[in-house]
Amino acid sequence: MIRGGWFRAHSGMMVAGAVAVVLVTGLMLVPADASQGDVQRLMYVHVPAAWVGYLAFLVVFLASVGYLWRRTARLDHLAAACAEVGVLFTAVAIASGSIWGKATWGKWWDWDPRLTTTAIMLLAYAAYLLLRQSIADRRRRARLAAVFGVLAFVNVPVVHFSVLWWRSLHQPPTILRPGDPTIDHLLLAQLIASVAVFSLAFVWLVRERVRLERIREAVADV
Amino acid sequence: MSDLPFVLAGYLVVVGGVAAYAVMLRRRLAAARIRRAAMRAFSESTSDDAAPVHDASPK
Repeated sequence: MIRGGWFRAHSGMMVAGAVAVVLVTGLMLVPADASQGDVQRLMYVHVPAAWVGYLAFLVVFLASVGYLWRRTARLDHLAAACAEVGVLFTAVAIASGSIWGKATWGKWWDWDPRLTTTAIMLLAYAAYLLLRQSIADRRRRARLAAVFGVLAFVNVPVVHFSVLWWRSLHQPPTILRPGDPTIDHLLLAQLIASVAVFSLAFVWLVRERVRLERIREAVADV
Repeated sequence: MSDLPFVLAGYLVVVGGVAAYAVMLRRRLAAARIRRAAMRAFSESTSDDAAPVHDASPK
């Protein structure tokens, strides 16, 4: 009989395996895009990374609101974990987007609305992490970080809608847009699978990071 | 397939970045667990040492 402990012990390996499967299918099995060719395969890692960044910062926002309301340490731990993981995924989304930009636009970076607002979002959450590092008192740190976590989220919808509100080099949303997705069904299935697996990786990383935060506080209490 | 280096570089950046973070996180977690165990052992040993001294003081 397989117990829950077995799943917990092997969850990292299972998530890594799922990531490997979507990487192989995205690189080798799904056909190339008719207009962009093989470079479009970057979409299967770039879009999920950007999505996880949004998701992480949404959880930071919700956990911060929850902390200000309930003052529960768990919510503070969750916000801290999601901010760190969100910064990671946003950074790799920007890096992979830059590579895609070089291949399609001929340049690594452009002060385009989507790129600029994404860079601001990354800096805001990096500042959030620095703020947490700079305050020793646990309650004061949690309270100020929660206020910052609420305010920083204001930029997240601006990042998403920037391609619709302003003239942008970046392509408009493919899935999260009014009407049907502008993508072939097979490519869409691969993209959805990649987003789902990256979301699982996000959950696993956040769980581990929350554990780390709890142990740190337990050590501080000894 | 002239785009192949770009595609591979993009995959490497994303997968490499996330994998490096996951490995680093596991190491931080292992180090924190060792520190917690050491702190617990230290606090238990100091509380054991403190008892006889405290008991002896009125004599």
